[in-house]
Amino acid sequence: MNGFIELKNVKKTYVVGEQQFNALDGVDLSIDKGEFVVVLGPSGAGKSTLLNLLGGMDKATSGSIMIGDKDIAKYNDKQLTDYRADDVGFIFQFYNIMPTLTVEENVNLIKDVTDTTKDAKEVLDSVGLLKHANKFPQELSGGEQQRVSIARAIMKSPKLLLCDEPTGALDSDTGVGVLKLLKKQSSAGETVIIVTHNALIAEIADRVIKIKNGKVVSNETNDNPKNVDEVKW
Amino acid sequence: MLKRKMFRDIKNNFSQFVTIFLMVMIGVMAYSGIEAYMTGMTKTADKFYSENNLQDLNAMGMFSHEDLEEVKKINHVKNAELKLSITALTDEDKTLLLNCIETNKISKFYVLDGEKFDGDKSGVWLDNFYAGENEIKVGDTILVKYEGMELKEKVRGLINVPDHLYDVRDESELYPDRKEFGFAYMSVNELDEGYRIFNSMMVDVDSKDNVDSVKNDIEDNIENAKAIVKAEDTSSYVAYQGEIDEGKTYVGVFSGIFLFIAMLSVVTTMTRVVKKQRTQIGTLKALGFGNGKILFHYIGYGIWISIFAAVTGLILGYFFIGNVFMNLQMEFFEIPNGRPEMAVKSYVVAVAVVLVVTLITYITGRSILKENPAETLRTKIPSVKGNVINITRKGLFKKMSFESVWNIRDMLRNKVRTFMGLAGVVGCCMLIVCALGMLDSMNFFVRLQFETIYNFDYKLNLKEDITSDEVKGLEDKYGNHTSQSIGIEIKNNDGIREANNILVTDAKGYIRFVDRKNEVIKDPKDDGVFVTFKLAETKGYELGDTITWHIYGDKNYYTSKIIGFNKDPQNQNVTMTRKYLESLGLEYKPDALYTNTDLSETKEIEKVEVIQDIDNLKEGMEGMLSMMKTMLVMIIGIAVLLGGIIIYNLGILSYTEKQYQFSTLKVLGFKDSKIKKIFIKQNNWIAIISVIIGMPLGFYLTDWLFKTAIEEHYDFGAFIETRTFVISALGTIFVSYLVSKFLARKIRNIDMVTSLKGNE
Repeated sequence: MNGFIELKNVKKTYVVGEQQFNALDGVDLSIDKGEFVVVLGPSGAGKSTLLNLLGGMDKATSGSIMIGDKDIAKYNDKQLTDYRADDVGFIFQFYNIMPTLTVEENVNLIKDVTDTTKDAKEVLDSVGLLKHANKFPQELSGGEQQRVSIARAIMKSPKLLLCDEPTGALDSDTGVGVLKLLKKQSSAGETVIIVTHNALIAEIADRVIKIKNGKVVSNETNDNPKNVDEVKW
Repeated sequence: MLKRKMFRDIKNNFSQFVTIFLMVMIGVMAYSGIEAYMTGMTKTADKFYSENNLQDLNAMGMFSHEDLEEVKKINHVKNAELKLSITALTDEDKTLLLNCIETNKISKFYVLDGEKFDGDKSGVWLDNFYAGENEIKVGDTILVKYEGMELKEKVRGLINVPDHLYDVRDESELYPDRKEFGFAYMSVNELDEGYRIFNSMMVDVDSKDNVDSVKNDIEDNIENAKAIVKAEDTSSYVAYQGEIDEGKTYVGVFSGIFLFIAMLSVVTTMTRVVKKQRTQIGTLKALGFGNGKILFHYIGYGIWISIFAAVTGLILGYFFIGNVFMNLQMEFFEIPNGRPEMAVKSYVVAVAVVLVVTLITYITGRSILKENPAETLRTKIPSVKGNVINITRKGLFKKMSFESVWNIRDMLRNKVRTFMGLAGVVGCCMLIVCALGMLDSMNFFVRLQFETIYNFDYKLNLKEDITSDEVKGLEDKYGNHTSQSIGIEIKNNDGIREANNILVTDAKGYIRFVDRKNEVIKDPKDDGVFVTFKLAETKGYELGDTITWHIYGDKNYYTSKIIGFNKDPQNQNVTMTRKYLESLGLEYKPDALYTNTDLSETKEIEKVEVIQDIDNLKEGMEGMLSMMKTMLVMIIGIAVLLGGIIIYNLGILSYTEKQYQFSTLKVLGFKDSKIKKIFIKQNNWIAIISVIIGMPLGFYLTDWLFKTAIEEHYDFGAFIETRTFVISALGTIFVSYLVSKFLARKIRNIDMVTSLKGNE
């Protein structure tokens, strides 16, 4: 294995009272740069934990997580903050955009943490939200809010775009629109990882990883991914 | 960008930030206002005493110019002046304390209108308050009568004098009656040769450290000096200083409580405000914002509001409370240029308040930031021990209505919010009980003093030169109920002498002794002395102990056994019967006679200096109460306002936190009225519990204040009418209900979709 992302025997253990619970139980993974990856699994399988570890939002109990040539599992809090600021873009199921900032301001927020030459208006244009630049999030539909979240994530040109159920709160048509945007990012060379319950999304992925009880049960490449327009749920 | 976020967050949570602003502002305003008033009182007096050279010692006796020269020669004496003080009447039979002097270098006049004192000029320099009350102006002529002598004097100036800040006709008056009693100064040259004698001498000492040694030297070397009193022991000084000492306790108690309960609520609110932003903090972390940057952002929420509120509080405290309180005192004490002064302590408190708000925001923010971003992004459920909630599934609780059980569980899940709400309302209820209770207690002591202890209609203050035959003549006419007041010094075991006085009574039931329970002591014994309870407590006297004392001007010491304690709300002194005084070989020379004969039409009685009507004394007391009332009304006003804001704030907090649950109830088909009932119920419970705790605390606070804060010579305790408790309780519950009702209106406007979505 020689991918852009390499996980070796990654464990994440939670201690609740006197009981231990392995959210991830020795995960090995390899993902190439620019891949569009879908992680599938039932609730409690460890999908979100995996995403949190990849995004530097949580620390592994053991194992290594190589991103490029850096093992982020060894990072301290300060290094993880820098990693999140410079290399990772997050897209959440419930968007997590600042309700008191306008659409454009939410996107420009990124300029406070990292140097980016991108123009917020251009980014908003690319996700079809330029006309809503001065609106507050609550004035937008769910799909539009998710697109704000995508615009904010791609504003920094992240090496890794991590999406936690990005279409979970959206209807099929809106969800497809969001997936198109994500796919576009992947085509531009960014590695996109989506965790989801929705097996249909797997059909458009370059790689599909299935997780159950904290373990990777399959990791397969998809030689003939479907076009996003062909997906419906 | 984060700055914009902050301002918009503040705008979106405007009510909460306004309450934070108001609570910090009121807390700082109450503290700094009372401090500004107290500091102003102290500084105003210090300035007046020092610039106008208040005498260090006041010697009483009959003095000649030789005595004056002898005193001036005593080591450490800077200067001395002679004075003749007599009680004269005006043509309208008002009483004037007339002071005849040669020079005015000690206790110099502060001339408000007219000219400076000149010993060669005729005319009088008149008490400014007395002149104002009687509409006398510079250039007017007044008539002064004394011992058959009548002097027509032109008013040369209206003045304040440092040893006349507070003047009463005699000690039974509690409030100066400026219309009927004033002071005046004139040159001794205005008197006929025969009257040019001096009964007091003012002495200026080079340093405070040498006052005692000069006092001893005068006692030892000047035979005519019968009594020497330090400036600090004079009634004017003591009354003013007492007001400052009382105020200092108010600063510590009232403003301290205001500040404390305000800060409790502010701290709770700020904690909640930051905690509500938990998911946003998580998002910022996920986006790569560093902890320092996030913390700095959230600290900004508290710091700007609290700085703005603290500065406003300081300004309003000075101009509003400080000025109002100071002006009230300046109507009571005759002192020029009285103005509040901002105390350094107030700035320290204001900074401390800002720091506390900042610190609490920092601690709350930090505790959230300690978690990793993945955890922070998850909503935190309030932790509650299972067994606590389990209680609500058993026994009595099972029979309770849905809204009661819902509220109990909500309070158990949000213990800190509930506790802070309780603490705030308890504090305000306590302050209302205390403020109203102080008025009740004062009214009670007026009744105790003027109906129980004083059992007469008129008090005649007899002239100093009255003969025993003349006393006999008055007794035949008005009854033989008399008393004598003797200035003494009590020597303690260390040999230190302290000024006090003995009331020798032969009033036969016209002045009564009361015990601790305010009941009249029948047939007090006459084989020793009675000491007032407070004096006994202060000095540690026990029944059967002895006290050693001497009369001013008499070097013989007497030792008397304490045979009882009596309560006196006004004076802490020693009392004995005429029989006991005479058993010591001392002569009884009454200086007051008490009578129930109707003297309403009598203006003057020969050999009687002043006729005191008990109703006038009561009125004087009521005058003092009315001044207190203004201050207490302000305190009650602030307590009600702060209480209202705290209840409102608590309501907003609980409303915001329950909005999602209320939306769910709405979705389930609950009527608005039912949801409102749930919401109001909890606030009502908090108000009722607070009242139950706050009322006894209010009583103890009042009692403590009266016992410790009040001037040493008063002995008051709390006496609070049932009516006051009822008013305070109903008032607190009513304010709480009103605020809850107001907030409950929001329930009607809950947008179910938005608030349910918002919670996600």
